[in-house]
Amino acid sequence: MVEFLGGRLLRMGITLWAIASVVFLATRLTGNPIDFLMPEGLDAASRREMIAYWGLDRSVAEQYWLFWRSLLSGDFGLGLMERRPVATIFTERLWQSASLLVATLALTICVGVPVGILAAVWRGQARGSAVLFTAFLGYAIPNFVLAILLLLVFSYTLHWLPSAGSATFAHYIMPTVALSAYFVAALVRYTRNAMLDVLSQDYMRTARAKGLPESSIILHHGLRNALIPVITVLGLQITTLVSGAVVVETVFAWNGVGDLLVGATLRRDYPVLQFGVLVVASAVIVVNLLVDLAYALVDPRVRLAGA
Amino acid sequence: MTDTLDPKIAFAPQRKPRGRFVLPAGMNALVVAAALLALALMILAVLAPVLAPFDPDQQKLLARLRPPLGFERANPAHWLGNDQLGRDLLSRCLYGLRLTLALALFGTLIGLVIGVAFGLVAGQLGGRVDALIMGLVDIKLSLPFTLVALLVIALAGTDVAVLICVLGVAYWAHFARLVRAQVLGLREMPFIEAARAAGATRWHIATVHMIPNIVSPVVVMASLNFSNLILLESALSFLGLGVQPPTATLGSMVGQGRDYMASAPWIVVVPAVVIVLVSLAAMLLGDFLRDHFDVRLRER
Repeated sequence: MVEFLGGRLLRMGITLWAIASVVFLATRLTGNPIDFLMPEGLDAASRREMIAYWGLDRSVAEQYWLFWRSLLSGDFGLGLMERRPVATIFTERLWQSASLLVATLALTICVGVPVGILAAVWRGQARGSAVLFTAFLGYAIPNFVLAILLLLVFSYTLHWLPSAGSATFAHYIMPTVALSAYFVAALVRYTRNAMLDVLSQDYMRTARAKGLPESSIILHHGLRNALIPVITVLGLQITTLVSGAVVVETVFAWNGVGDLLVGATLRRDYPVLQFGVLVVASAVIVVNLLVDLAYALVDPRVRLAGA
Repeated sequence: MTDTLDPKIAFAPQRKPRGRFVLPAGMNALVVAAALLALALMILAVLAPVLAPFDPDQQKLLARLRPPLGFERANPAHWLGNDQLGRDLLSRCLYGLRLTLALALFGTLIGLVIGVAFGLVAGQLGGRVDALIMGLVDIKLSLPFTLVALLVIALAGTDVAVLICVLGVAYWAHFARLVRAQVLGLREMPFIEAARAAGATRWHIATVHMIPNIVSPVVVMASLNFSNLILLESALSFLGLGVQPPTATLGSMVGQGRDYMASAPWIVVVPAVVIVLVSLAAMLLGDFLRDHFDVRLRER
């Protein structure tokens, strides 16, 4: 287990180092950032001054060293638009994004798993096919299209739900639904397949032969075993979830990290983007590691394979 | 990063008998419908310059915000209505569809070439090269790609060439992983061993003996990635980070029509419906191919 964990941590470290370095190189190699940052028609003297101020006149190696030194000392620079420390800008918005992601995960699991079980139990029946087809629709409709259609119906036509912001519970409904549709659909499909695999196992027949009630067979013997692949799939989908949040937040003017990053891209606000990529990538990698660990703890076969 | 736990990419070389689809009962008709829809959309895209009744970028301010046929104030010449600048929505949808499909196709091909090359090299050479390539694959797969795309676009600017590159690198790692797994399996097969014994070079084995044997999983993955790229391109264009105005893509039409949603919802609804149709057709066909050839791939 220690070896397994050590190997994973080492790879995680290498991955983070590589990401940070690529981000650094990308921002330095595509021209002098100062030309994007400053207004046009800047005179040569001020330009030199600004270049010296941002440390852009030093060698790439030296800049790379400084980049790591400031990263490790927790100094991530100032956002170009807001003129405030990037870390502060992010902290303010992190909570907003996190609450949306948690709401989405909760909705995904609460709807996806039960519906997936039903779809497995209803296999070969009309209602089972109906569930699957609905799941397919949820899978195929891009989140921003769903978000726009929801806005059109519930905000602009029926005036039931607010179209932008995140102040009340009502504000959460549409973004959460738009973001979770894909994951609910994916989870329904995975849970169904996993349940179908489990339902045909010998121990399920044994449970039936023992005379256990059907609900207990499905929930205790079936779902428990079916959940293992489902957990993995959820873990694998974290990157997709984060990508989706970027788009959905923009549609609903959700004051989160995704909205911030899209804005930063449009305005070429490097410090914000650089920090955003680093923070979100690290978060995703740590979550993936946790999922791996959870999986290894649940399933002894994985522990053997990983060590 | 998730090597040991992946619902592993596996390909059973023996095909299941034809006609046994894994899709549930009643879905076969759906697959046929999806195929017809896909065919229709492709024809529309290819023939867009012939079929489009108007120049997609031509503005007619007098005709702005006219609704589609069947609504009050509709202009009979513009079947699907006009947008905020009086441009014909039908023509814009046709050209947008054409561009969206073309971009997704280019992106898929680029990703396929890069991924297959890396996968073949990693699987055939093994050792350090393999470790390096798979390390890159792990890094690629552990990042939310939209973030990478945002960074690249902020640095390189919004340009069609940049967009094609972004779409091209979006899924190379998936191809590389698939191909490497295939190659590792093939290497142990007797006919490859025989080729090696006969003195064939690794290059010869890779190009002559291996590529033909990995075509079907690669094609299936390409079809799945194609539909994912349609979504990625639409999302980027929707955010204003893809193809720039006035050129129409389906995503940018939805994105720019957002401001008129309250007064002229059709500007958004028409391209949104087209996106859903394209995505449905592409995904149904991709799933069908995957199930039919019994290829188990990682979901996007």
